[in-house]
Amino acid sequence: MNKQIDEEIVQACLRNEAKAQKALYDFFSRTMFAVCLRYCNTHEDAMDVLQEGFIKVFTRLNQFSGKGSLEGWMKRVFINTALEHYRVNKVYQEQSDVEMANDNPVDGFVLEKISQKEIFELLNQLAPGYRTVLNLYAIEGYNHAEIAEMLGISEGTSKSQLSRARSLFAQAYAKRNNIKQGGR
Amino acid sequence: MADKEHIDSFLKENLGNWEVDAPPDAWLAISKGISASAPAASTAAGTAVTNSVLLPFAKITAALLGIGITSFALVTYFSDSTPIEKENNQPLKTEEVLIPETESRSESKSTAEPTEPARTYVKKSSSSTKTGLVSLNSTNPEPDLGKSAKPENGGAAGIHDEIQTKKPEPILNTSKNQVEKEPEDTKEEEGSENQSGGQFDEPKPIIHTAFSPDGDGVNDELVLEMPPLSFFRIRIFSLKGQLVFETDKPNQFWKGQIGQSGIPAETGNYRFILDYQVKGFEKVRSQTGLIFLAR
Repeated sequence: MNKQIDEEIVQACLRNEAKAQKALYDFFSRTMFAVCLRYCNTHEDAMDVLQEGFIKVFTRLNQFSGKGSLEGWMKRVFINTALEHYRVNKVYQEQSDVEMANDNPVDGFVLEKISQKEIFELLNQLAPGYRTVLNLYAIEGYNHAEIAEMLGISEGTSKSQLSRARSLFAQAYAKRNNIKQGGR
Repeated sequence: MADKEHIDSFLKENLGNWEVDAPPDAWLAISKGISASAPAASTAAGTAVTNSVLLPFAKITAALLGIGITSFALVTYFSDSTPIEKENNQPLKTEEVLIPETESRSESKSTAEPTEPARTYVKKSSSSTKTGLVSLNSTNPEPDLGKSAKPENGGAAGIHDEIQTKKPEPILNTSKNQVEKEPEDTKEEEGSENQSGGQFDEPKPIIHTAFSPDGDGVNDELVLEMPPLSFFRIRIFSLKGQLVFETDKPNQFWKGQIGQSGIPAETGNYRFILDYQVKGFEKVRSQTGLIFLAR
């Protein structure tokens, strides 16, 4: 699933060759911008994080150990940049849990053709705390211990935020389907 | 929640490989950013070109840089801790300067002992040249003055080791440290910002908790007076729990209709949940309460 970039481009980037840097950017910018969008509240923030992240990637490329894929490493850089951007530690601890949404209609969760953008928009409707935990756990595949460390929250908080986030996402999804079908 | 795995895999399959065109002008800003942070990058290049002929030169310059930078860092570090260092940088020759100082420091322990190391210290420094390293040698015994002369050597050796390990790629090392320390760094930042934030009271939103959306032009919208924000969202629910209004735009007020439908909401109480972050402040705050809608 991960994209493979030519090793020679990476080597040239390490030598600070501008052409290679542009090539690496062109190769990964679409994927990374999507990551930025998923972790940011606004489009503007995502653009900031994209720039900041790529600058970090190029200045720290020599620290990439070669373990795992370059794409995975870069994603981590971008995610951390985005988290830093919001200094999430605080945000997530103090996020209220006063959501009024009721826990019911998860059963109506049906797979159906829906565009990636629409899914992203549903995900992005969630409060930043929920969105981030769901992103990290479901999409990036971090475990609760890792998430707790990244966000400066307890594992328990991570777990409860995740289940809340799932249920909210499912509700948003069900609601969207209802509207689409003209129901209600 | 039987299908939680379902949701996770649904999200992963759909968004895991999601791609979006980056804004067209992003590269320009990035390439500018890279050249702005060139110093760190140039040493990276220096180490990467290991098979080039320039290697010896690169090594020498890197080593010199290393000594320069680490010693500078250490000198500045020590100079913060004691007044002696500041003087040491210039008047290395005179013993007279030092002795009063050691006396002044001797409040903690006896006067006789500290003078001993102080003298050796002067000899050492005057016998060697005035590079950054020398002042390191001499400064190091300093912290041990009060205790005994013994740890002096050990301490000095310790610093030497540090210098040697740091020599080859000084800048790389520091940048690595930055990476490792990142989480702490952010915490510190928070701490400091909190302090500065404490000096000013965070502005609070003013919520007008009753309104009459009857179209008479008076008090027709639910008005919120918000300070400048970096994040905003309000949701309004009926008491049965139905979401009737939601927005992330602070200047978009609820007009008393249910969703986008245009159906007027009934007279009664509604619950709002307001999440916001005031610009320049850390906390995302959440506030909830009742609104009275009268027709």
